[in-house]
Amino acid sequence: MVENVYVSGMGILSPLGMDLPEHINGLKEQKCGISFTPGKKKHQFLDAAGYIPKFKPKKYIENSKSVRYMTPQVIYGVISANFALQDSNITKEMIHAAPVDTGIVYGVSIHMDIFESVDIYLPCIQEDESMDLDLLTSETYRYLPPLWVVPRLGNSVAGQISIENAIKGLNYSIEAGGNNGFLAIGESFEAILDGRAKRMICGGAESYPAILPVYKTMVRKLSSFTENDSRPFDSGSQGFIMSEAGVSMILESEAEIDKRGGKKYARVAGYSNHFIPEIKDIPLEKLARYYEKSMALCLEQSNMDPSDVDFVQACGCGLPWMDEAEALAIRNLFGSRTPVTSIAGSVGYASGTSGALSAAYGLLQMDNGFIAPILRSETLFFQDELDFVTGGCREAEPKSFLCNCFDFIGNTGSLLFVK
Amino acid sequence: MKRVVVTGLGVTSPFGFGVDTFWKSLVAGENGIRKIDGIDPKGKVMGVHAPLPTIEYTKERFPELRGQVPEKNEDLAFFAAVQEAVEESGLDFFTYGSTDRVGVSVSNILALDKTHLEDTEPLKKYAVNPDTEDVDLRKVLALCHERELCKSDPDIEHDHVGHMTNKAYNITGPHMVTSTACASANNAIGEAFYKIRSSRLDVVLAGGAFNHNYNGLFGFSRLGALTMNPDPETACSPFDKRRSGFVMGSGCGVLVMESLEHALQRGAQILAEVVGYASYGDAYRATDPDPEGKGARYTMEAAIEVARLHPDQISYINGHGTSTKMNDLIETKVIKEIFKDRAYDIPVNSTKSMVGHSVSACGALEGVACIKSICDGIVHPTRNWAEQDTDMDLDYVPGAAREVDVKYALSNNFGFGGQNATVIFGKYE
Repeated sequence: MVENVYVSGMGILSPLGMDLPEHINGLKEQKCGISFTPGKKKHQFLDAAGYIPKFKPKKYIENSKSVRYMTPQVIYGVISANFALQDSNITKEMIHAAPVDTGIVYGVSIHMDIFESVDIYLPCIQEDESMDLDLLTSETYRYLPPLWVVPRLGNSVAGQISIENAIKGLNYSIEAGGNNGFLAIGESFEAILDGRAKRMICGGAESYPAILPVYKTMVRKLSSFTENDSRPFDSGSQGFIMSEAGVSMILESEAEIDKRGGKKYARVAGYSNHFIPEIKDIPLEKLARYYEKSMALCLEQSNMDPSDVDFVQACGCGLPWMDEAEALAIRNLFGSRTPVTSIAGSVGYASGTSGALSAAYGLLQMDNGFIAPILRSETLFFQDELDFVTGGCREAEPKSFLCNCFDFIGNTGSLLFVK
Repeated sequence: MKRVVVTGLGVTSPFGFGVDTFWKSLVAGENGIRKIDGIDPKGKVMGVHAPLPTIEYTKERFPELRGQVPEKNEDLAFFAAVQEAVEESGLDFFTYGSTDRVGVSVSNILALDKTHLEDTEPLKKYAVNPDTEDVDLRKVLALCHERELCKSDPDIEHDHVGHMTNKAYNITGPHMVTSTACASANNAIGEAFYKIRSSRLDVVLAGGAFNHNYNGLFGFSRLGALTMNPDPETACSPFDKRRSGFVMGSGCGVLVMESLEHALQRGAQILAEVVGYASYGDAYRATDPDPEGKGARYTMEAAIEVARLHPDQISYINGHGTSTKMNDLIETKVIKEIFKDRAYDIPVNSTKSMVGHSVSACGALEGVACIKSICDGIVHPTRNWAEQDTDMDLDYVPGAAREVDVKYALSNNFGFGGQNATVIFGKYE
C-alpha cells in the first residue's frame, strides 16, 4: 500500500516562457505574459490573449518526423512531458526497464477546432443532413490529409506522450470541462495510492484560443478581450483572458523517488473533486459553500487544519460571480491569516490546463520561497477580510499550499501540497 | 477493498430504446446497420452506419429534466439510457445524489454536427480575409453581438450527457469523462470500479455515449479504417476473412455500479459483479495497433490478475471485434497466447457485428451484453461470420445465439492511440 505520493518533476510551457527559471523569475518579477497588442493572424487574432513564446518544436522532440502530425496542443503536451522527465532525472532507460510501471493521465478541453473543417464539410452536407459523397470525393476530400483526424482525438496528447517515450502503463485522458489537467493530477495521485502505477505523468495542454470557443465564451460573457476588463477577484472584471499552456508533472511514490534519489517538490496531501449541478442558478452564499466544502474535504484527507496552510493558490480566473464566491469561501474557511494569490493576471486562463498551471506555479513558489502577487487587480472582493497578495512579490517560506480549480460548468476541485 | 456490483442497466442503441430491445435483437442476430439516408454512395467514403433512434421530448417522459430540453436529439436519446438504468437500480438518486458519495463517469466524444459547422460559416464569410486568412476580431465581436452565430445554444455543457445527468439528479460527486477513443467506455467503467473499490464513492453511473459525426465519418474514412462496402447486410463482418473495416455506430450504455455493501444494505437486485479492470498502452503508433499485441495482452492478463482469477475461469469473451484487418487478427493472436489450448473452447463474439462501432460508447454497450449473457446464460452470435481467415480459428459464435453458463465475461476495447482497456464481469454469488 502506497502512503505518500510526491511531485518529482515539472515541465511548463506558458505565456511566461518555457523553462523553470523563466517561470520563477517571471512570477517574482511580476511579469505579465498576456499580449495586449491587437491580434490579426488566424491563430492569434485576439487583442488580449496569453500565447506561449514562439519556438521550434523539432528542437525539443526527439522524433522530429512525428512533429508534422501534431497539432500545437499535442506539441505542448509532448514537450512539457519531456521537460518534466528531464527535471525529475528520469531517463528513458529507467522507463524502458519497466514500461508498464509508468502511466499517463492528461487533461484536454478544446481539441477539435472545426474552423479548418468548414470548407471541407459544409458543402457536402445536404438539407436533410446527409452527405453528398460525390462532392466530397471529387472536390473536398483531398484537403483532408490521411492522418487529419488523429491529433484531433481527445486522447492524442496522452497517446503521443506514450509513443514518444515508450510508456506502456495506465493511460487515459480527461475531458470533463475546464479543470481537466487539474483532475489529471488528482486522479494520478489516486492511481499511485491504489498501486496501479509507480509513476505518473499528468497535466494538461491547450493551444491557441480557436475561433469557435472564443465565440462561445464571448456570447456567454465568460471571456474578456481587453487589458483592463480581466482582473482576478476584482468586482470590475468582465471575464477571463484566454491563453495557451502545456503543463506536465511527474508523480511518484515515495519509495520510487527514494530508490533513485530523486527530487521531492512536495507531497500531494489531499484531493477533492465535486460537481455543482445548479451552478448557474444559485446565490453567492450557496456557491461559496460548495467551494468551501471542496477545500475542507481536501484538508480533511490529510487531517490538516486551515491554519496549517501557508497560502492559497486560488482559481480567481476573473469571472466576478465565481471569484466573489471563492473569496467568500476562503474567508469563511481561512479567515484573514492565509495569503491568497492567483496566476490568472499574469498568464490568463488556459481552459483545461489552467488548474494544472496554477498547481505547478504554486509548487515553484513553495520551492523557491516566495508568494507571487495577483496582477492588475485593484478593488478585490472582501479585501479587508482577506490577505490577498498584491503590489509585489512576498518573501516567505511556505511549507504547504492549497490549490483550487473551479470551472464555470460546475466542476470543482482542490489539491493540497505539503513540502 | 470493496466488491463492486451492477444494479441497473440502460441502453439506447441502433435497435431502439431499452436493454430488452437491444438484447433481444443481439440474440436474434439482427442488423442495426443501415445505408446513410438520402445518398447514393460513391467513392472512397463510407455509405453505411448504425444510427441512433429518434425520440421526442415530453415533460411526462423526462420529468427529471425539469423542462430543460437538450439542444440536440442525441442528448435526449442518451439520457433515456441513463433514466432506464436509474429506474432499474431502484436507488433514489434525487435524494442520494447530493451526498457526495455518487459520481458520474460517462465517456462522450462530442459530435460535430451541421449546426456547429453552420455556426462557423459566418465567421469564415465575414470575419476572415480569404486571401491572407487574417481574422478581424471586431467582426467576430459584431457577429457575437448580433447573435448571428447563435444557431446552437452556446451553453456548451448541454452537449454532454454526463453534465445532464449530474444536473437532472442533483449529483454533487465527481464528474469524470475519460477519453481513450474506442476504449473510452471501458475506461469509464474501470475508473468507476476503482472509485468504489477504494471506498471513495458508493455509487457511480458509468458508461459511454456516442453519435456518429462528421469528423468521424470523414476522418476515419480518410484513415482507411472504415469499410467501403456499401451493403449494410455485409459491411460489418468481424473476425471473418472478408472483413474490410469498421462501420460507425451510435448509442449509449449506462451501468449503475455500487459497492456490494451499499447494494445489500438497500436490498437492491444485483445483476452482476465487476471483478476486474486493467488499462495499458501500446506505445507503438497512433493509428496502428502493435502487431505483436503486447499492450493488449498485458491489459487482458492484468485484468484477470486484478480479478484474482485464472485464465481457465473465463467463460466468454466479448471481443473488441471491429471488423478491421489488424484489430481482429491481433485480438485473436493475443487470446490464443493467454488462453493457450483453451482459447478454442471460449466463445468470442463481436457486438459490433450488429450495431457497428460506437467509439466512446462501445465498451458500455458490450458491458451490457456481457451482463445479460451472465444473467440469461446466452451469448449472442457474431453476425456475418462465415469464412475463416488464416490464423483466425477461434469460436466466434457464428450463426445463432448459444446457451453458455457464463460465470466470468471478459470485455475488450482497444483504442486509436494504442490505449487498451479490459473489464471483467462476474456472476454474483
